[in-house]
Amino acid sequence: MRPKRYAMTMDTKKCVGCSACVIACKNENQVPLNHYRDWIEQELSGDYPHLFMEIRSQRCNHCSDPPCVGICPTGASWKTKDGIVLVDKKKCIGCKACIAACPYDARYVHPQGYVDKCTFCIHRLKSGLTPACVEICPTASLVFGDINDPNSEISKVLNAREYFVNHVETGCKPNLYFLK
Amino acid sequence: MNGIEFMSNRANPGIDPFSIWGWQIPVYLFLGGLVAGLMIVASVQEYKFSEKWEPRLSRIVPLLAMVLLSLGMFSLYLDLDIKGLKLNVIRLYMTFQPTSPISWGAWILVITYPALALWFLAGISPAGMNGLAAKFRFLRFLVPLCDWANGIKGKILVANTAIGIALGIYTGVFLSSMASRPVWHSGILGPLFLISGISTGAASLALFKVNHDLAKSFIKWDIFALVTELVFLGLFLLDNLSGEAFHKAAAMLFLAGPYTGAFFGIVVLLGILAPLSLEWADLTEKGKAPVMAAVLVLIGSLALRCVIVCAGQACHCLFSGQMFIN
Repeated sequence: MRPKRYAMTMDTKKCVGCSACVIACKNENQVPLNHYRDWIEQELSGDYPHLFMEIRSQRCNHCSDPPCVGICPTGASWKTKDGIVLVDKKKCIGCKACIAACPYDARYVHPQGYVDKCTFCIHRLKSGLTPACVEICPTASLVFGDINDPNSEISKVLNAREYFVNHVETGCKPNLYFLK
Repeated sequence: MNGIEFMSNRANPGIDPFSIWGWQIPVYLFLGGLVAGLMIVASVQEYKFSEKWEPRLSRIVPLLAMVLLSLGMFSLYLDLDIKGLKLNVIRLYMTFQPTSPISWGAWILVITYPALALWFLAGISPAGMNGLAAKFRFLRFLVPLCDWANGIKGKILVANTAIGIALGIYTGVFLSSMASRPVWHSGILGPLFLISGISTGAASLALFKVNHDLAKSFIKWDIFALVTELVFLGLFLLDNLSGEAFHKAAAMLFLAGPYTGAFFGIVVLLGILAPLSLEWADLTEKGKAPVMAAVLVLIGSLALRCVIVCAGQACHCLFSGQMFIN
């Protein structure tokens, strides 16, 4: 049996940019004031009247080959066997190299000095729950699961829909899939 | 798609706008490069051209390098964000992470100190050390060490050259290992920072009052390094210009963007071309301004690191293949 590989899909056709995912994350993970583990991006392109708008809920891409883990000099940034990228705050020295190495700018320095980021709500996963952002999303634009399980909802979604990932040029193999 | 309007509700301190590294990192990279340059130029000069060498430099240069390296490491230490837990930095030395250039750098810095200390001891004659130990009894333990260092002086000089090269390249690889920042992600950055470090090392050595031949040698070192640096800067821009959209946009930051003035005005004109002409005049006996030339080289070298570190942090890649600047 293949090991789990957690991933998330984000449906750009469903997201309305309500920021419920942002609030849910802040509440669930006690994210400090003025800091964000996830956020909403809105990109408007084209020339009037041919305009195109895309709204995306963004977070750490929990890359399969995460540059933040490779560059960490103390091993504080690490990846679980399920593919979740985490920070061990006791080992973090606050050098911020992982922040610079992340193509998604998904990390920040916690007011206590260590680097913090999205954990895919690993504490909830251990209880059989989904991440807080996924649970709260009112348009069900976020789907979370094991993409190594062909029967999981996320695998079915990825088989049925076209998708793209961000910054493939960096070679980090992200696991946040944006459905077209 | 022509026009792009981008909005985000993320407002993380230090990320939006991206400015995680302040003055401490360019200063650290500058001092690291300067120490590397001192080690390479002085040890090669002493090893290969010992007839021109002035032995007192074998004691002054390693001591100066140790002081500068310590200042550089202190600067890096000031940058660490762990509040109240700055001693956490010891964790750098509780592990070795082979994929992390910073881990490599931390260990290179550790071996630099004993290499410099041995060079310093090799610069003291056994008789001189015996005299010192007679005066200051607590120095007695250094007598056998000094004898040993004098016996393997050639190997110590070779080791200092090798460590200097590793240190100089590391200051560039520190940044170039990050594919996330197009400005930094260039293989030229390692050699560029190495040659820039050699230039600062040679220019600093030219400030010492030494015999005419040795002074000319230091000037020749610096002229060679400055010309090579100019070539590497051109290659750095070409490397980016011949890359994909993000890299082209990175090159434009220097060619026609917010860093053009600093790059061409301070780094190229003040930091390379002006000292080059002053040193050429010195070498051809048409003029003499070694202090001015050295100061300009040091300013240019620090400016190079400031510009590269700031430009790398200022650019962000969008998914649409475009880049915006802070």
